[in-house]
Amino acid sequence: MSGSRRLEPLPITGAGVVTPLGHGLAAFWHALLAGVSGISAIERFPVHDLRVGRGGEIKTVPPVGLSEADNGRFRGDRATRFLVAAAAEALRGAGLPRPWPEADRVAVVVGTALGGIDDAAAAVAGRGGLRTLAGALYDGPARRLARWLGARGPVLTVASACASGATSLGVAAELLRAGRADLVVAGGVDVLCRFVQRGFDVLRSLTRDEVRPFDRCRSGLLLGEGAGLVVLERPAFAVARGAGRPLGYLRGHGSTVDGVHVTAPDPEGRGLERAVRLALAEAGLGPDAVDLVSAHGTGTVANDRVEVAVLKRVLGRRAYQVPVNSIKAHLGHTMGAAATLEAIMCLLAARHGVVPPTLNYREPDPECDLDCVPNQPRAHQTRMSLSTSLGFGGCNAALVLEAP
Amino acid sequence: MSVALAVAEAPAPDLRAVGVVSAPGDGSLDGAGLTVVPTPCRDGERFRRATRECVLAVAAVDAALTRAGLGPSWVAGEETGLVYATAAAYAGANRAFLEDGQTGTLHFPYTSPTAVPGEVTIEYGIRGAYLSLMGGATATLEGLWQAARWLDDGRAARVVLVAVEVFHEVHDLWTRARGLYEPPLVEGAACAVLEPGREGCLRWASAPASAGAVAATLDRVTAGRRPGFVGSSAGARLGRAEARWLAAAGLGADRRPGERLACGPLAALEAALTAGAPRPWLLTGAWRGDYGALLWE
Repeated sequence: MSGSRRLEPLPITGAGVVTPLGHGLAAFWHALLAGVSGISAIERFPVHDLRVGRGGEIKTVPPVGLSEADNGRFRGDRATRFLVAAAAEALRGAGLPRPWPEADRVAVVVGTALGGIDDAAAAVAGRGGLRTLAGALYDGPARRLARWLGARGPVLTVASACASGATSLGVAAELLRAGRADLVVAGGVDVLCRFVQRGFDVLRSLTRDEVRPFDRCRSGLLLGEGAGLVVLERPAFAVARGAGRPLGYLRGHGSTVDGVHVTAPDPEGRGLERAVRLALAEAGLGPDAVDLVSAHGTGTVANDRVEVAVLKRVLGRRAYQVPVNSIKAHLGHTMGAAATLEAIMCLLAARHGVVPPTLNYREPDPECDLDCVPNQPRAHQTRMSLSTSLGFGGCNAALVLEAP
Repeated sequence: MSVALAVAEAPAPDLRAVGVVSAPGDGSLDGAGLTVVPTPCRDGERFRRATRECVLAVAAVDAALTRAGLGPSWVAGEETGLVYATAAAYAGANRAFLEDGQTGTLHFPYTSPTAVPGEVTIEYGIRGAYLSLMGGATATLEGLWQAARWLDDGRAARVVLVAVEVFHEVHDLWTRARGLYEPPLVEGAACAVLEPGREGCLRWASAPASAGAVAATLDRVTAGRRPGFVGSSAGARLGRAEARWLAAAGLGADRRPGERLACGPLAALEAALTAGAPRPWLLTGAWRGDYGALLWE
């Protein structure tokens, strides 16, 4: 098996986010640096019977900037509204009109852990017609986004649980490199709902404390919701259409499975290690090239321990020299959106020369003894970032991103 | 509307094995328009709590390996990639949890589509490249193409592609959703095991469906090559446009009764293999307004 297959970097020409910290890149970035927490008491659905009733809930669904014609036709669910708002920002940033005239060359790849779960709940309760039933499927939000975009190229939905938002970018890269599209709107989305809150509550994965990634007293995660999308383009296409300076480049991607447990990560992190090695190989880079790690960093005992061990194995001494942050204490775990939001954070960190902190860090854990940028942002020049993700079913993914 | 189709090419993989788990007398559908596949028995604690779709997926991999005379260890390790495709195998598990009925503490993880590939990887020790695509027949065809890319560029030395569809637990919802498919529904699980091929090419294209798009897709994908086998999962509506194109080319298609969604293309592959049909094989599929065709030289 080939160890290295260095591929052409793909420009990321636009990005858009919808998060509990605010909508839009500017609000997201400023809140990350300011150490704002998007965690609050959940208001949208009943939580009185659950152990934990807090999460990164978005209180106001963003206006999606629909045209008059859209307003007559658009009936998106919550996930789709998040996606459309993120896509509108990403297109603006990329300087692209909607619809792009060559719609057959525009693809959509969305990663999600829950798909159209709100519509699924309605359908199971006997509400809604065919539109609701169609929206209830996992590929409902991606298809609605494609319709809004006017995209007529491939429309794919990737479901690798909480690693979905990284794998979707890898699949988008595949479409571009194979010449199947000129540009791809790709990323992840998930909504916070009773279904998933109750599920994680039952599993006792949610903390009653704050989320404390890499802290010795970490006791679990809190969920969040949101969407992150990027516009990825074929380099020649971006040049030909006169695209501006990109936000950055996607250099490498790896997605793997563990084959160990349906929920827990492999205690040795073999799948994650392989995903990271695949991503670095695709980028044609060694560990010394990495100068920022955006960790999955959920704040569970097992996840953070495994991730740190993997980073030490793959990066060697470099693991101790680079900042390794987690933004899940800011946002909660936004599931399918998480990896894309973290990738966008990496690009913004490179642009601004600052790394957002890992919040709520109090007590060092000898097993997580890396530089996790505790509580305060740090000035740091980032050229090459590594972002790692894990999910139910033994899913792992890694991305390598480069500053422009 | 004109169709600017991109035909994606990859070196054709070698089809080492196909396994299909379907209902006895597959094709004789019951009065409710649903064929339910019996759940195979599996030993072990894991399989007591695993959902039906997980057990069926494992059985499909078993069937493929058995057919090829291979042991389970043959697919173990990080050189084996896994691709999973389904339109809605997760729906029953989701419903059970939504309705808060008899689900135990450990049921929630099985509401995730990743539970199925998760159980497959645990059973066989697969630890390589991974992709899980949500959709019907076109997702499976997309998965075949992605697998061919992995085999070509060395991301995997072999790929296990699994598709599962179960409907019984949510049949009432599917009945309400008849606009999305053409009944009857046929449950099943299927698995293809792929290795790097020595010659030929895989040609794949998909497009938003219309009669014009079907013909354009078939024109572009076949590019004058005459398939030795045509396996159609296009459904009746698009199948009519497809049948016109095939008739004009003097070709017929293997069309199995019933809607198998993601399992359709793998069931067609099994038919091609069983019939000893010469390549190229042409596999087609449709899902939610998309039509796709894949030519396997």
